[in-house]
Amino acid sequence: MQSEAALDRTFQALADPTRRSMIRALSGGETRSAGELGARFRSAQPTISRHLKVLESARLIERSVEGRVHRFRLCRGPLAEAGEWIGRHQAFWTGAVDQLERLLKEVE
Amino acid sequence: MNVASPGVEVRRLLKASPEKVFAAFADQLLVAQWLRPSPDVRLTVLAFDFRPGGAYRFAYDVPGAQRVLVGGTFRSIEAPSRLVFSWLIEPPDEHAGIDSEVTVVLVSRGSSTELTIRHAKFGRADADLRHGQGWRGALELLEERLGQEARDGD
Repeated sequence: MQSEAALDRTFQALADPTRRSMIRALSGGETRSAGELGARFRSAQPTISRHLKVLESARLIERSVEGRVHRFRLCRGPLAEAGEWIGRHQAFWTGAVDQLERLLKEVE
Repeated sequence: MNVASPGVEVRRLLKASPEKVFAAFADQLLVAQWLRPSPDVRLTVLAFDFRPGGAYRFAYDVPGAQRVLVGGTFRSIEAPSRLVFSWLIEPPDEHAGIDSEVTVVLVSRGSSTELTIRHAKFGRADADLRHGQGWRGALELLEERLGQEARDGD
């Protein structure tokens, strides 16, 4: 189970379009180097590096170091955990609207 | 989970006027009778100050499970067409402390009312993204990923 702070970090990390593109670039499951990921964007290297750090601290990506090359891969766990919040509230409101419909029929 | 639209959204055509449907959100005694996920969950309304800035607090008792406390404030009230309130689950629930907002929209459709409930989640630190595109994009990506995962699992 993810803590509330971790869930906040997941959603915060996903709130940036560049970081979402990075996630998409990794979504096939393969690893990519910082250079490969950076080449897709017009941002300076320190900016790319900062985005990667945000994704890493939210545990959305994992870093491995091979010599001087840093490689990244996607971690699926946090995305699924954030989905639990959405699933729970979707079920809550669907059920509540069923109850509301029933109540409106009774008071008709 | 609905993967077709971003965030949580429930839409239903109800056979009642917008005024009657709105009253079900505005009247504490009516709220207590329906605002729960299923009939076996008991809702106790602990506070209900229905005015802009007013607070509410609900206790949900689920058989065989821990009591869930939810609270928030009414951010915007436009009877009988629109209602916005914050939604915050209290500890020790696993989703405690996550700020979120519920928007209720009622549209008259002949003798019926189209009810739409949207519930968007915001981390406490990114409340400034509330009205921006950032949040919407995040949810779209999330659902895209989860949809793909569901297919991977087939």
